[in-house]
Amino acid sequence: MMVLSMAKQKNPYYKKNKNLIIDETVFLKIAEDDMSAFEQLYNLTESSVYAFVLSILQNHDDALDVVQDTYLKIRGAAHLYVPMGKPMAWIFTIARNLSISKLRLKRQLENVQMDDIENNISFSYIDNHEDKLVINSTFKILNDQERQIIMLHAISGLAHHEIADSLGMPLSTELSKYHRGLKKLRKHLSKQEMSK
Amino acid sequence: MKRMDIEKSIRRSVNKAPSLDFEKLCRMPVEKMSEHDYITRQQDVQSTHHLKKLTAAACYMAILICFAYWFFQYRMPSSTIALDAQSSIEIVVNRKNQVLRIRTLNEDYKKITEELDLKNTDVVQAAKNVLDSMVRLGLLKNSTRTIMLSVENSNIESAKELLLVVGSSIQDDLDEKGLSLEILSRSFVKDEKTSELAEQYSISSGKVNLIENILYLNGSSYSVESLSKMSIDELVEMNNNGSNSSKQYDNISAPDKGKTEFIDVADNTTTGNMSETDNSNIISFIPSENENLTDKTAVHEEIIIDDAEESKDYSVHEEAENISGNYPHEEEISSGNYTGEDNAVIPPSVIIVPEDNLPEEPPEEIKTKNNNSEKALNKQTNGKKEKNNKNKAENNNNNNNNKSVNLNL
Repeated sequence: MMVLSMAKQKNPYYKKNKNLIIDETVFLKIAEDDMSAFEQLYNLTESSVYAFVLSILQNHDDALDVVQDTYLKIRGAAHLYVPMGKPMAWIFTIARNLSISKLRLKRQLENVQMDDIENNISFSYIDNHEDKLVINSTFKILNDQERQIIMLHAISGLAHHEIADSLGMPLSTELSKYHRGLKKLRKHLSKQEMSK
Repeated sequence: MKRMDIEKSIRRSVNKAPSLDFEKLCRMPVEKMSEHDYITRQQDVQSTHHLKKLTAAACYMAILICFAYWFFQYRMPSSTIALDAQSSIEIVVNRKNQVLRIRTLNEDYKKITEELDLKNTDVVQAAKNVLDSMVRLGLLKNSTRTIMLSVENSNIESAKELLLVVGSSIQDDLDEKGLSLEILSRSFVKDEKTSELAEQYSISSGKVNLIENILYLNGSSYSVESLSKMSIDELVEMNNNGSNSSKQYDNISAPDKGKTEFIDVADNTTTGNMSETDNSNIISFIPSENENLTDKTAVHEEIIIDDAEESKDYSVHEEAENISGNYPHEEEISSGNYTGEDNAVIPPSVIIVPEDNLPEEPPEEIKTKNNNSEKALNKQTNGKKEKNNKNKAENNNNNNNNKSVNLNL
């Protein structure tokens, strides 16, 4: 799987992601093996899907595997997609289900406990100390939902109501979890800075 | 660290992470799925939201219905029980017969409301407590002979039931205390005009109801205002006087007919229902047929004679108090079976007026009033008239003496 991995290019679509709009007809084109349409979707959503999967699996390698499987599933089921106005919700559903399957499989094969998963967090590719501290704190301090919301908001640029729709939760809940998560992070990071 | 700094830091970290090789991803073979599996299944978010909205609406409606039921049963006034002696005190109750509030505008009687906290108390207990307070606070004068218990409800049957329960309870209470008080019981249907008058003169609706009777019987020689200041004893006396003087106007319809019910509290039996006897006359109060008349604490009832024509035949004036012995059964009197034989004990105060002494026609003014009343009640009486006509035919056969009975206190 790692064969596929390579240094990530700066996402040229990131700025556009601030107003992430996916034309649902793109799935029809993908169903017809239109690779340009698939590339368009991939460039638009890859960062968000990666962030979302990483927030669940807390492991970069596993996250990449699941992201790859997610896009393969999209290609395989694009012709079955029924437009409902929320394409990102479908992509996140596939990513979440695959992530959960991955976790279950990992637990069965390696008898890995949740505590061990935390130990798997390694961001060796991050050279900035501060960034490393923030991303580590995000995985240590926040619970799954807080982490998913903050990462999706930071990386995908989705608006809060879009995140709420994608994760299937009320906007008020999403907002409260977002603010609570950030508050916890700030408090933790302040303590870390004070201890230095 | 600011919020934006945290998000920027996370973004930088993720962007630095090694990514997939898109070219290889595109080259990987993909098998087209024939149908969605548990991984790719689409959730109908909209229908879920609709379901949530419907569930919320259903819950809201359920809460609303529960609240409305609770309010209807426990907070909405259903009946008003009034105790009248020198002044009036009203107990407003809900459908569960629990006290909602006590109303009185008399300063002396306000002491009762200040003294007692009867909210949510059962009406029977509340009425007893109010009566106890009236006695204890000296609000019942020694000269008081009669108190009036009236129940007002939108449903006459409910009023009647409540009157029986409260009346019998108060009767027992008075018996225990050895108080020589007569209870005049009245039940009637809620009437906006009566309520307005009660509000205007700070008296109970029951008292207004009695005053309307008196005004009807005495013509326009009195006003509501002047009568509202009188005690129940005085009103009862005036009502009796008015009834005596009205013996000649047998065909006159009572102003509150069709809504007043008179109940013998002691016997728990209804002796007449004006809503069913449209052409009958209110006569007056006599002791209940089963009442021990030697007991001063007698419960009075009003007797209604069904047919006006029959009432022409007899005119009996009767004093209720201190009467002992048997006296003609009301059914006997009203049906004309009573013949005034020697073996029947006629109360000493009963006066039989021969038919010849009665005027045949009421004055023109009264006749007009009566005609108007009859028109208004025509719809209600059609069914009953047929019944009355039947009874009339039978009664005429049985009525050897060709006399009617008019009972007055």
